Amino acid sequence: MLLQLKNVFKWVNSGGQRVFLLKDINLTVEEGEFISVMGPSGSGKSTLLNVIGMLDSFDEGEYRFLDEPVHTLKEKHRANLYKQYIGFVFQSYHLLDDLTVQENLEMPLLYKKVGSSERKSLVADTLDRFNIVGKKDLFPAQLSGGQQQLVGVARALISSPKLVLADEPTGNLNSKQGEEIMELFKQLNNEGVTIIQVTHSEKNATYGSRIINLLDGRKI
Amino acid sequence: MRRNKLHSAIHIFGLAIAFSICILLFLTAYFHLSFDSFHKDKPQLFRTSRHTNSAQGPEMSSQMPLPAAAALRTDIPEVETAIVVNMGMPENLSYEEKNMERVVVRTDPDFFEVFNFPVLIGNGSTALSGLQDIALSETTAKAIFGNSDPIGKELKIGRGEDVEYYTVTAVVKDCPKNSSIRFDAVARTESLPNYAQLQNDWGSNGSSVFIKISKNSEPQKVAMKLEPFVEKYYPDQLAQLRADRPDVKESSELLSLDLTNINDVHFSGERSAPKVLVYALMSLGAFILLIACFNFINLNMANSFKRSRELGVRKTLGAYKGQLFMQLWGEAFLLYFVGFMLGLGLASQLIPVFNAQFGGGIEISALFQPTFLAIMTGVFLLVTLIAGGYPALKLANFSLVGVLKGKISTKRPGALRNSLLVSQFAISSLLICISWIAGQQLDFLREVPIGFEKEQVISIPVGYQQDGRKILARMRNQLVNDPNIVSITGTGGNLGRGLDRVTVRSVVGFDYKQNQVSADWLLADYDFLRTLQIPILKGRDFDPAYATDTINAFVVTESFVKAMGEPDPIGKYFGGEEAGLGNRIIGVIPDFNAYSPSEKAYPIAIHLSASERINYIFLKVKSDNPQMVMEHIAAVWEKLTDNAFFKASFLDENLQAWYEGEIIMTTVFSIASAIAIFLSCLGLFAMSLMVIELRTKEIGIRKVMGASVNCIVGMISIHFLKLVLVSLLIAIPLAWYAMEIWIENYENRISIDPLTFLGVGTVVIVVALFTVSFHTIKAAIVNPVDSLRTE
Ligand SMILES: Nc1ncnc2c1ncn2[C@@H]1O[C@H](COP(=O)(O)OP(=O)(O)O)[C@@H](O)[C@H]1O
Ligand SMILES: [Mg+2]
Repeated sequence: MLLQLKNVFKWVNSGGQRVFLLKDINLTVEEGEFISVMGPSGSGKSTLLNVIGMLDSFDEGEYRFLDEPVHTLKEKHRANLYKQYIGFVFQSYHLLDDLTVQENLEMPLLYKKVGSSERKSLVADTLDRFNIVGKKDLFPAQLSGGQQQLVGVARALISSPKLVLADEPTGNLNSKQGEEIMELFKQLNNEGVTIIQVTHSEKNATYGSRIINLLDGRKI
Repeated sequence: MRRNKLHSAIHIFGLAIAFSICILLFLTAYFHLSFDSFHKDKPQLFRTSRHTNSAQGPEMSSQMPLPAAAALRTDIPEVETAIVVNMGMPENLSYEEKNMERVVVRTDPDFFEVFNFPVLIGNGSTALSGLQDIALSETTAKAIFGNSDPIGKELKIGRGEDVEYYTVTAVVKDCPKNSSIRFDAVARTESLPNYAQLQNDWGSNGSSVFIKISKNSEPQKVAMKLEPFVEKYYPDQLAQLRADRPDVKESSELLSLDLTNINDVHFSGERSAPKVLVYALMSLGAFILLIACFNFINLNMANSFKRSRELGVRKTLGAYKGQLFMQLWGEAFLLYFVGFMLGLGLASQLIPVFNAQFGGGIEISALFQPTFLAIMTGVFLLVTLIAGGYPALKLANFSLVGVLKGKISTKRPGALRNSLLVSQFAISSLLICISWIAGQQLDFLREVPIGFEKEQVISIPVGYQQDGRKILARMRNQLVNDPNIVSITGTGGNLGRGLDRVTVRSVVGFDYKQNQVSADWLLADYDFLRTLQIPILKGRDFDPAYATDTINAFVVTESFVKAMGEPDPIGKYFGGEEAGLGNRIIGVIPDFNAYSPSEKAYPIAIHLSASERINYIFLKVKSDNPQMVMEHIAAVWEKLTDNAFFKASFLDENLQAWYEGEIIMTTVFSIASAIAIFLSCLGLFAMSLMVIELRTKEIGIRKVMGASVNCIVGMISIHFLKLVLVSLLIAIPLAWYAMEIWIENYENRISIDPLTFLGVGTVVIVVALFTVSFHTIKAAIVNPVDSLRTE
């Protein structure tokens, strides 16, 4: 078992009223799964992903990740956990405009205190693996959307995470580009990476092995 | 919206402070530059001065002999008129019960025609026609006569037996604060107490002589005619100087009369304000203004670019380029205007304090004249145009699509912004270094061993009206048994500069066995050495038991003996051989610094006299409460002198006063550098907020990728740290160089310690990082989920 959410609630107080963003979420994810999260806009998909990715806290319930009780961990410990095991892919890529492709790939390694030579070889391997060696010195603005997302996925995978969280990774792409990214996910999943993606597309959802539907913060 | 309010507040606050300081500094500079500019014939008005080149080196004095005026008038046709202006010590004016000390200028009858001092009551051209006529300033007339008509009243000047009677003939407007000629009353030269002696004496120099040349004559021509004039009237002195300085061939190089236009009088002469200081004040003002304007431009531009998206939208809606321009410019205009008005208000509130602190005479009304108005409008337009217009033009030329996509925010206008920030911090660091080092030098001068007791010695200027010898004798009598008074003496000249602001120094040169000696001649009285706690090295102190001690006995300093080259000085005679007597050395004392401690100790010869005027009384006190002793002495003084003004000070205050200019400048520089760094930080504060806003997304991404709070704070701090370091690299060598030159002026000087710069650097960096930390820490702890959610 990779992670498990038990009776997780998340809310915000707005005008003295409790507004629930997540309601009683129970979810177990095994290693090697490929899960698609679906639901209408505002249903809490991103919130769920952020909670799983430990970027966001929750107010009630339990969260175990690789048998570590995330809800009781100290901030620093938790950060180490997600730095080591989780990679993020975003709808709008979130590459740094001022950095080249190569530097963008290197950035997460810097924060994981990877040594310089190891960094070099990891970046070179990744560029190779994703077939973007020729683009390594270009800036994000010089790439197409599909290519940018390719770099985004490469960045998420560079430190070999167990789990990739992708929030509408194809949302800004045309269907052909989207398909390529999905194929890539499929391939990664086959190599053993667990993937949780948010998607609006039924077709993309079918790449996954399981679909979770959310409505108003509740799993249905 | 809140952010905009904060920005506007920072803009306005910074501008207001900068403007008020700037206005004060520029008005001060203007005050000095405008000295004597109110005389309507000023291109024709000149002050004469003597330039002599004797064995002691060149010397310049604007003190002239009385007969020079008449001679100039008759001998040189271009001289329309020449006029004596004698400014003496305050004298005692009395009328019925009223009694006060005022400065009376003695001059020639055409005074009010040559100079522009408007006559309020009476007729200027006839006011001084009688030998005992007197014109009073408005304030003086009010003080003496109140509201009754002063014209025709009889005024008594002097004390005791030396009283003269004057008739008031006119009331004159008070002389402006920026006048070199200062008076409370104006009377005739002929009424000077010793006029009969001085009238034809070319050797006594005690008055200023001004000339007015005719309208179309060249000052150079007049100056040339002064050469034969000197030959004619100074034959003896020229002969003496020729003997002294056989190396100098031209007689004009030995003794010449020079002309100083009345516009430059304030900046030339013995105790004048150096023009450099005025320029230093102006540059200081300009620096502060520059920093504030850089802030303004930087913040406004950054703000405008941030709003590029909104403006892009406006453009699609059909707003013209011109309209866009007007909007941004108008906003800048408004902010600047409000800041300026607040600054003006603040300055006018500060002027009284400023004048009291720095002894200036500045007025806010001086600001409202064409030159200042033109400069202010110019700066106003330039700054608002750059701050508001530049981004508008830039935006107008960006491709519309780019603006809409928010592309502009990625192309940060970093180069201009960074260089403005670097300049600000460079200026601030420069000012901090300067005031720090100047402070060190002043502290050092304070600690320079001066060679005599200064803390517990009180110096009382006797004043023009009193007989110093009589008072000294009476004081000795009164205080002989006072346990708090150790000893009392009298001198001809003060040590340092006392509350009467007078420094008299007489240097005498002579030959001793082929050695040229020149020394300060100090008139003293018995107990001089005891009062100042100066030890005797050889021989003895002055002693009333020896009758000749008041005639030809001298106590001299070691460097005096060295200059003589005499191994056994006691009992030796020097100088004055023609009198057959010579001066006899009775004692040798260590060197001490009678005048400015910043100079090298000069040879000094101390002598007594039975008749020469005693101008200062020194008392060595011994008490835990010197202030109380001071009050006691004041009471005794008032009793003995019939309530003459008591202007006593401690000698260490006098020595301090010597550095008045430096102290004021250092204070001004310290205040200015504090304001400069404050303004720079204000800019940095807003700038860091701006930069962080631009980088919010980046910070979020980096955090998601695993950056810790420390990483983020470090990353942004380093960005600003680099800029601050660059400014330090610019400022420190400049400051070092400038201050090396400055301290060269002092004989006793510090060696500039590189650690000072390290200190300044550390302070500036810490302050900058602290300023930036407000925003960095806040930005770094923000949950990245929030900063990335925007889509
Ligand atoms: N910190 C927050 N404060 C208030 N409301 C929030 C916060 N985070 C998310 N929401 C709200 O919760 C709902 C779910 O958001 P989200 O998870 O982004 O939905 P989805 O990704 O499914 O479109 C939305 O209505 C959103 O406005
Ligand atoms: Mg979402």
